[in-house]
Amino acid sequence: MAISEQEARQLVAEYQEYQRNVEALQGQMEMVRNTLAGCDSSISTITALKEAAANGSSESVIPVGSGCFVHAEIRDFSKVIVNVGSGANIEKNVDDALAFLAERKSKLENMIQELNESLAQFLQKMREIESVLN
Amino acid sequence: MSSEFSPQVQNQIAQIQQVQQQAQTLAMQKSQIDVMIKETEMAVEELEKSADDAVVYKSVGELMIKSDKASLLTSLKERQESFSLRVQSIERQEERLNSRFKQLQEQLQSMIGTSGGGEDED
Repeated sequence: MAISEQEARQLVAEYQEYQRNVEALQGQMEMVRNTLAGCDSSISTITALKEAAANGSSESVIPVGSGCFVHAEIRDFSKVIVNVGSGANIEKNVDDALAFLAERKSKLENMIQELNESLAQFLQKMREIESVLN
Repeated sequence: MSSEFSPQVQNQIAQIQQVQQQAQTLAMQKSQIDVMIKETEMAVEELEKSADDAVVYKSVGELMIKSDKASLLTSLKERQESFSLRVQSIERQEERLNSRFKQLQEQLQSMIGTSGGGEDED
């Protein structure tokens, strides 16, 4: 179907708008994925500390940068201070902290799914415009 | 922008583009504040679930300072209120920009209509 120059320009403008949205969504997705990776890493660390505590080990090393570590002893394995956002931090017992992180992880996974759905919609609209313009 | 247009029309288009850019900046600011409002809501929710004598800390730069549930809640609610006021202010600015945009657009249409050069308007 032939389209007028005016219609073609309109479609190109729409296409560019969708492209900007796609880029913005991809940026958001990257941020959410990084947060999710951080969440996974915290869950693994807390779980490992919990196991170490169960084995009676309290010796550890803490990073001081550039791949260097100093010896440290963890005094209390039973409590974790969790940042709940907006500068608020709550001391929780290990299991509650793990449950909080698991909930956060699930929310982040849902967010990724929603972003993926929006992304698919925009990409579909872009393909439709491409087929009209080609 | 096409050089076929008169300087007045070009100036009008430039003003419209400027208003559009301002609207985009405002929309971005609003979306950032919306994210912070959501984050604060979640923190309030989590704090309210904790025991009244829960051990809590407030982040201050790189430090965490021991606080108590009640004062941390008050501080978060003040934060929420301040964000809401900022959103309201942005919404008022958006309304003003929208009416300015419509006004400029109408003026542009009548300018193009008068000069009879309306086929090339983006």
